[in-house]
Amino acid sequence: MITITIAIVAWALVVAFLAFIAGTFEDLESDVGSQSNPNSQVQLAAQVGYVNRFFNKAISGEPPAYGVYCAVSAGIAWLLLSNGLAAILAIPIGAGIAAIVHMTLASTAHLGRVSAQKRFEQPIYMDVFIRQLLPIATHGFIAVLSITTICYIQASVMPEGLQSVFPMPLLGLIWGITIGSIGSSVGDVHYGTEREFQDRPFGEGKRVTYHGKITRYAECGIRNQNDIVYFCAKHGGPVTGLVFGSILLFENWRSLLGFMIGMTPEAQVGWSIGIGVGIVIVLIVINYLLVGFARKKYGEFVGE
Amino acid sequence: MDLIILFICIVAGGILTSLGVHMMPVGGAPAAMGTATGIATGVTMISTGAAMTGLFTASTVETMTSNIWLVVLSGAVGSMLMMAFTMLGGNIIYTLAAGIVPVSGRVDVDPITKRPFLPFKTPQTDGHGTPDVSYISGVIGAFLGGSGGALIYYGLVNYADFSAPLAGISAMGIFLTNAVLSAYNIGGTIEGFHDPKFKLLPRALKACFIGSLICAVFASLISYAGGL
Amino acid sequence: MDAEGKVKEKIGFGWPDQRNLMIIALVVSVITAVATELPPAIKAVGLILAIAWGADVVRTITHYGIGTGVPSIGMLALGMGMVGAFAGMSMSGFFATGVGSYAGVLIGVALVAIGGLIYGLVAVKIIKMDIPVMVRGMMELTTAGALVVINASSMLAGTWHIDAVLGSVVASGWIAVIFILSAMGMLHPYNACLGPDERRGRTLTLSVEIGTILCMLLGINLVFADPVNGSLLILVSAIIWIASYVSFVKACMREAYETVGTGLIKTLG
Repeated sequence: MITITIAIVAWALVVAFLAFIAGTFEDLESDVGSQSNPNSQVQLAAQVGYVNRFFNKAISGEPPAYGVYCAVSAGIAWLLLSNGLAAILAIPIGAGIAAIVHMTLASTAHLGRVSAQKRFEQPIYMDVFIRQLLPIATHGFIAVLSITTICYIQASVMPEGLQSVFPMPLLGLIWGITIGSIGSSVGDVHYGTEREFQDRPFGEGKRVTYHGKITRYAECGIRNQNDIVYFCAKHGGPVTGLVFGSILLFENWRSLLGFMIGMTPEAQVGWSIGIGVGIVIVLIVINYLLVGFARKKYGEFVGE
Repeated sequence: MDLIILFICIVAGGILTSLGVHMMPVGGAPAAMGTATGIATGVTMISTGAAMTGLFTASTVETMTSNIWLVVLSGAVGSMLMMAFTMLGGNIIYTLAAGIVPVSGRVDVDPITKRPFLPFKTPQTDGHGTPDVSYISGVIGAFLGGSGGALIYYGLVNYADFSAPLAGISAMGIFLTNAVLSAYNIGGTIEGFHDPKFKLLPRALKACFIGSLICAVFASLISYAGGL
Repeated sequence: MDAEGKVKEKIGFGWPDQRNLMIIALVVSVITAVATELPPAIKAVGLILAIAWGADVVRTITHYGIGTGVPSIGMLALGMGMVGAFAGMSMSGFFATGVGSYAGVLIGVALVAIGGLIYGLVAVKIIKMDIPVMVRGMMELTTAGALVVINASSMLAGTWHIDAVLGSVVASGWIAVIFILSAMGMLHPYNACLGPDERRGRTLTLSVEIGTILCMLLGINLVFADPVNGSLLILVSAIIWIASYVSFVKACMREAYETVGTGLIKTLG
């Protein structure tokens, strides 16, 4: 019988809050160095003649990339922890080494992509290249630091019942791939649909004829990645954080509720499964209402 | 006897994975620009993310009880939860940040809620957002995918005597091979079970059957020879 | 053609063509995988060559336009290669002692190659992907993946006997780091250099660079258990990393349209 103490609830809350921060900064990092799906437009832009000053960071999509950073960070942190270093020093050092790996991958991706566009007359702008490297590293550092701390809590600190049997680096890989896929499917939509085509009409999907013709002039001068990240930090980033934080919060919450209600281990797991199904049904209903709200408020498509 | 059950677990897990991957609505790169319906990531990666969340929950449950139904179902529900939140978050951005109504590009009327799509679709696009039918299809797909991953993990831990980390990384590897074969079959984008591409399912099931057999042979070699 | 020759001279390393690279990488990485008495610094060379071979095969396959993107095939290769590598490493239990156990690893690698062949046939015949080099490419890719995992495990554990490997590589979780970094090493180079003016030499230099990052991390892991071998491994990998990174950056800057400090963008119309 697993007793619900204040400690287990507190650690579950800490995990959820760290996940919120990690999700926000993961999406912002993929905006401050254009990565994944909207980056295909940045790549296409040079080919249709829209030479730009964006940081074309093409590290194969966010899930494998974040899998690399989080696995490396958790691996180094685990190594230092098992050799006697305290967690407060081991985890930032691990995240720092992952940030260095991140910077090398980002720099080679940008240089490789731009130098392969020689015939479209896209130059390498050295100020874009050097200036964006540090924001990319810092945004990534916060996201990776939060995820490494989550892995550490789940592997070593969490009391019995919610503690994971997987070692830290494997947990880092799992959460890295998960947060990469969430950031790519939630936050990147804000970048790709809204900010990248800012001079197109609001309120419609971006047509196939618009592809490649991205906005290159900003509110003040030529657009660069910092203009993009300041815009997406107002909506895309926090929603991504909300999604990842909610996932971790409800996963832990339904397990704890199951522990409280059930008497035997089988009953506890059964209750947590039932509560999970209930949460999903509520989400389906919320989605139905959201889509209905949009249809009623926005109305049918006008224009040609 | 253990060997036969191990084979059944891994092959059944592979087939469930393939079926689940075909039901998830994935729009790929165009979906991030509001040009296609579905989630704006690649097929392989979103299904791996969902199944790994489920695997994480299933591994904790497996230490508490050895009932196959409970372990597999908890993996399935964990994966379902992740997918539901992700699709809802995507829809929040589509409707509130970009002002787009979620519609599908393949059918004119929603098969489940009977709301029309065609008047709300942007011309020259292939649909946008995640409408109700794609949402439900995605939730069911994540359920099946998560149960497939958890079943492979269960088989490896209980019938091949793998330790938990070895079973975890091997389950991820076997899941990835099945998901990639299914992704090749789909060709990159699919909208759910109402999409005509869904009819290509049988050949992916055959391919994943053979693929999972090979991985099961490797797994049984590790358990048999490693114990000598 | 002449300009390309001059560029190759300046960078200083002419890559062998695809078939020769496959033979060299296969032979060297199998030797370093099987001979466990070699110091890790030499096994690193085998590992880097295997990653370069894998990146070359990925480049060849995706040249034909695979449709769903490059990361998938890297994940497929490493997923199956890793499970097969463990099977190969545990084959040594079948044979009693001595020479027989070396044969065990080789038989394991051969099994992985057969598995990759069946995957390629499945992809071509059942899923009907009409890519000409799919069967051979899949066979080579899974073998390269398995060899990378065997090399890396024997570098960390000192041997490839499954008990030692399970203790120091899998139970500690570092198999996850090896898995994802070698997958990235095979799929990042072509993806990062994608474009009409992509050149094979630059792409393969980038794969060497990622391989040396993996070796440096393995060296950091090793230095706590075995200071001499670990620091030697870090030193050798650092030298190769600096050489490959600098040569890649210089090649890119030289071969781009132009490299400017700053500037306005070309206006249209």
